[in-house]
Amino acid sequence: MKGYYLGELEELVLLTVGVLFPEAYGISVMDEIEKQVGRSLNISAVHSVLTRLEDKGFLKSKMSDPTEERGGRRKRIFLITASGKRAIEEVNEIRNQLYNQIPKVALQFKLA
Amino acid sequence: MNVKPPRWANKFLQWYCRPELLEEIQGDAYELFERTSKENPRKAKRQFVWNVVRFFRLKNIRKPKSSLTNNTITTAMLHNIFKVAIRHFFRQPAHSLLNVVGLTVSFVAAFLIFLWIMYERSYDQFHEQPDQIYKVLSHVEANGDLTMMM
Repeated sequence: MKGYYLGELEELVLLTVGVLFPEAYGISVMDEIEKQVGRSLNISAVHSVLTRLEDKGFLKSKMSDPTEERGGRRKRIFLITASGKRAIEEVNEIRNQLYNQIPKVALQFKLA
Repeated sequence: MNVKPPRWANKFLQWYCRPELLEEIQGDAYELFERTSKENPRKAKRQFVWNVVRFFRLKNIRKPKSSLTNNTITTAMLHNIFKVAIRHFFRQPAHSLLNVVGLTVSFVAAFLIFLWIMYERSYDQFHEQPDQIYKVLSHVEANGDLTMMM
């Protein structure tokens, strides 16, 4: 895949960060995944995936304004980079390619 | 909100967490706490403690100040010293070899003298006051030969 290897959870989090533009941070990603996919993740798991994606270059982060009810603390907002966009597209394309190559017979589960 | 997150868990988080990550981690934990404490304060406290435990990962723990970093002779300085020494050796090998041979000979001589003295002081230690006992040698000429008498 030319270096765009994405684990399953990483792909999920990356897509969610795209969906939540421009308010994608730890808790909002966690909530959105629970709402749409039904997986309840721990916040530290989400944090570690986000940091890993940022280290791979698929996300970039910046700190938001401190005017909030989080006790005045800022949040780290994540944005997708061009590399991240290519990663998502490539994974999607390869998956569709493989799916289209499956012969119809393999996916038929009728009682013979 | 009067309900506050458990103090000792908060202190633990502030103690182990890396300072640059503390703001986001603590902020997320606080936000989750605020949300659940509206319906169920006890569950919120438990959740806070569990989150603090789950955040205790290698990436988030602060690095202790490393005491192996020198400030008199840094690693870069050592590299430079070696580089210059090797270059000098290739330009004037006789000079370098002379230095090296001279230092080697002196090290070996000093070491051998040290070993001899250690040997000499290692026997005859069973007397009461060995430091105060001396052995007298005298050279005597007898029968035309020079001998030693103790």
